[in-house]
Amino acid sequence: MDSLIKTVTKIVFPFILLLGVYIALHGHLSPGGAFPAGVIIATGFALLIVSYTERDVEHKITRHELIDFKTIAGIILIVLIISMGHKSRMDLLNTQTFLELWSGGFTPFLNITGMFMIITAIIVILYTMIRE
Amino acid sequence: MKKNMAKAYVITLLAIILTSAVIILPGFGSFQNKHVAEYYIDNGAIDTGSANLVNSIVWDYRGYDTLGEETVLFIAALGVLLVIGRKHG
Amino acid sequence: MIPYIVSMALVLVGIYALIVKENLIKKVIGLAVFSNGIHLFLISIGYRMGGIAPIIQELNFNQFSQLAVDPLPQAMVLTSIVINLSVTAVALSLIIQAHRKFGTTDSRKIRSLRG
Repeated sequence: MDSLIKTVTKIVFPFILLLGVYIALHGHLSPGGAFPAGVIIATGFALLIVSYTERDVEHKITRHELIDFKTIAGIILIVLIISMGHKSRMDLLNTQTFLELWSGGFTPFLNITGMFMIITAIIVILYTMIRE
Repeated sequence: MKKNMAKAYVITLLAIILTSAVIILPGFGSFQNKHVAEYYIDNGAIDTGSANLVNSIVWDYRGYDTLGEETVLFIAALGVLLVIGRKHG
Repeated sequence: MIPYIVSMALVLVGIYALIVKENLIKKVIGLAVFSNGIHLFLISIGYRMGGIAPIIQELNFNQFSQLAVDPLPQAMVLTSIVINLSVTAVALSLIIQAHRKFGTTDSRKIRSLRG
C-alpha cells in the first residue's frame, strides 16, 4: 500500500488499543463495557491487515495461539459467572466510595474477561475470511 | 409470472399487517408496565455496586444469558474455521 | 410514533430484499437490515417522556428514579446484536463454500443437490 497510510497506521495503532482498554475498564461508570471495547480493538487489528499486506501480519499471531487463548478466556468466564451467586464475591472491590474506579464488586474482572473473548473471536473470523 | 405475483402478494400482506400493528400500539413514551424497571432502577446500584445499570443487568442479574451468548460466539468462530479450512499445500 | 414507523419501514425493506432479490449476498444484507429494524423497535418501547440515561451520575436519587428510562431492553438488544453477528458470519462462510462448488452466487442456479 501507500507509504503515507503505513506511517499513519504505525502512529495511530497504540492509541486505538488504549481507547479500547479504557472503555472496557470504565464499564461500570460510563456507557460501554466489554462488547464495544472488544469491537474497537478488533477493528484496530483490521486496520493493520488493510494497510500492510496480509502475509506480513499473519506471522505475528498464528491461528493456534488464538484458539488456545480463546479457550482459556472461555473457561475463566464460565468459572467467574458460576461463582457469582456466592455472596462473599460481591465485596471484592468495594473498598472506596461509590463512583470511583476501584468500586463495583465483581464486574471489572468480568468486563476484562469478556473483552478477551470478543477480541479473539472477531480476529479469528476476520483472518479466516480474508485469507480465502 | 406466478412466482412474481405470489411474492408481491406476500409483501403487500405484510405491509398491511405492520401498519395496522403500529396504529394499535400505545403511544410513544407512555411507559406502561413499569414494575420490573422500577425494581432494577431502585435496587440495581445497592445490590451490585456499579453505577451503570445496563452493565449490572448484563453481568449480574442476567449473567447466564451473557454466558450463553459467549458460547454462541465461540461456536460461530469455530464453525467459520471448519467450513473454510486452510489452503492445501 | 415516528420511531415505530421507521422500524417497521426497516423491517419491510429487509424482508423485500430477502424475498425478491436473486443474489445470495443481497439476501444476507436484507437479513442484517431486518434485524436492525427489530432492535430499534425493542429499544424505543422502553422510553419515558423527558427521560435520561440509566446511569447514576450524582447522588440525587429521588429525581433519578422518576426520570430514568427502562434499562432492560437495552441489555437484551446487546445480546441480540452479538448473536446476529455470529449468524451473519456463518452465513457468509457458507456462501464462500457454495461459490467454490458451483462457481456462481445466483440462487436460481444453486438448485440441484448433486453430490
